[in-house]
Amino acid sequence: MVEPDDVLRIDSANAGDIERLHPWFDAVSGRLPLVIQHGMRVALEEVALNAAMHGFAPQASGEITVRLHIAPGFASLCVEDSGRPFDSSKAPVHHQPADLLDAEPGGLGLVLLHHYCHDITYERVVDRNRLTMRFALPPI
Amino acid sequence: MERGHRDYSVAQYEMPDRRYHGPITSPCWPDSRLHVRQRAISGVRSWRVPDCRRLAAGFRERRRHRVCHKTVTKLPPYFSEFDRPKSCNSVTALAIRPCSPNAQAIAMTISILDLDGNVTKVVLTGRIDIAGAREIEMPMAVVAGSRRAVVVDLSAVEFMASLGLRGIVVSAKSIINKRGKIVLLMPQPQVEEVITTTGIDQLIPIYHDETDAIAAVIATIG
Repeated sequence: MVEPDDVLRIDSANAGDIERLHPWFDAVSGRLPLVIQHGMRVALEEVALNAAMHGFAPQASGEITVRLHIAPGFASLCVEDSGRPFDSSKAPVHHQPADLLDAEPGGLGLVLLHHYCHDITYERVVDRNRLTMRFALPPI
Repeated sequence: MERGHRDYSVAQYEMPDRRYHGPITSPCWPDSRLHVRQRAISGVRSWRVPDCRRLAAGFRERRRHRVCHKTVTKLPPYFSEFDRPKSCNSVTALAIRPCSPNAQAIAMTISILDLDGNVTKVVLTGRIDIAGAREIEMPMAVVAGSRRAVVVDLSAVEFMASLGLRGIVVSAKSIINKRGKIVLLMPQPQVEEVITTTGIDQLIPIYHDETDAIAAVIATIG
């Protein structure tokens, strides 16, 4: 049986609103096996935070919507935002240099996103980015 | 001012007159009296760091009163205290703020312990998520700006993604710039997976034994 979606809406102009992400995931992820919760949480933070930090002009208002969908065999997180177009699934992955002093503090999120997601799909739907991340569920 | 209704973030205080040893009142926190002394005193040493929404307030404070690493005692009652570990000489609390009534449950705590050999151990507990990363930003910046041998104990950290890693990398660069050394201690498997996946373990070594970690930083700073 397919479970109904759980939805979170975040106001990008409200800096504190993004902090609702993890309490929301705490509330909706109870049905998921613990073994995949961590990876889903990491991927979710990376995508939502990237949209909130880089998707909108400073002080511009926009909406980020997160949906959790659980189906037999997989769970998916769909993050939609009304920000500028950005395809996380095809963005170049940052690699760390050999020396800490040359390291850039950012750019690690895409590495983690690709590591934890089994499948990533990007669509530009009208004026919104839609990134769907799928995670395989272990057999019951 | 109603207690607990003011978001606040602060490092430690140092009065402009170094000879002053008595209590001070924070201009941003007028109902409190922090007691500053010039030397370490046994007793209260570290405090739970509650949710923080205005880090900027802390930085303004640091400009007004120079940040020091003296011991602060007599905190107001809305802080939880931890026992002082027997192995450390002194502990400093670098981020202090009353809880906001709207704040959610405490997600992150940080304790900073000064060990023998000028080694500083930073103990993080909880989740370094979006809120947690913001909580530790200022305390870690203060540690990175003032210490050269740092062990970051991640054994009680349940979650960390790139935002939390970013804070550690920024601190590490500052420490390395001073010819110092920073190592990570005993991360939980899921946190270690994040660190190794991003390759940060190649830049900031991970140790699973505290003695080895301390020896590594001491060896570097001489």
